[in-house]
Amino acid sequence: MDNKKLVHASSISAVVVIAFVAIVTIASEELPAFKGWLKSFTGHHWVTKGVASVLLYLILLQLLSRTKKAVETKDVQKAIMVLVAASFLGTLAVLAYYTWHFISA
Amino acid sequence: MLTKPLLVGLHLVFAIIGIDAFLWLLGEYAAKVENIRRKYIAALIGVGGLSLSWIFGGYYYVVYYGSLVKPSIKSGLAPWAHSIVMETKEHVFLFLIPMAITALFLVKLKDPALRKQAMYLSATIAGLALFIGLMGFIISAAARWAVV
Repeated sequence: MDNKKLVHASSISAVVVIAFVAIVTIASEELPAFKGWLKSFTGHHWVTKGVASVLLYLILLQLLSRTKKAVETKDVQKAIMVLVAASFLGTLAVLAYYTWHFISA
Repeated sequence: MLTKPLLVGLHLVFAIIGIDAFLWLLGEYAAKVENIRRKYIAALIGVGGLSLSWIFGGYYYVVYYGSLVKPSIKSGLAPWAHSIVMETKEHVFLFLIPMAITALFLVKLKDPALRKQAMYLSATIAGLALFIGLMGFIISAAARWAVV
């Protein structure tokens, strides 16, 4: 397999996982029924989020690394920097949400 | 009950191994080391360390934390240590594994034009894991203060 394509696919998959975890986490706090639905799969909402994030990453990695489009070095550079930025934004979003949630309770 | 401190210890030990491995990887890139094998070993140890830390910490969190630790923190002097810090920690940890695997794949690319990005990624993984470690310290301190 083309290693550039693999790194590019892994970076994009990781960005989607970060967005998925942040959105599902906030949504599950705002919608108790949704949190209960997540819990119903594994017995704990966090375990379901963890399993879902791993599956999402693996499925996206498989799909994206099989695309026929050629991946250049600049595409890999951009994807990694987007991943770095997404990790900061995702952390900030989750931290800000729980801070607001605690203060406003 | 005997396994509770052991699980926390394993969670911490493997997290430290993971952080050290990504700092080692960062050093390899900073020193412009061309040896891919050494960088691959560092990244592999990093992925392994963070993954095992996630598994041991996750098991402790699901089996013990919710029933034994969370109630005492929430009724103690610093309920925010659970409501803000623990809630953030448990979810941000889920970001780390796909990032670490990406860094592992990146090691295989010999392109020097990707060195800067590899350094940013390695530093971000180590930094985020250290931030998670700091949050773990706050949670442990809050749990200790809650029972004093």
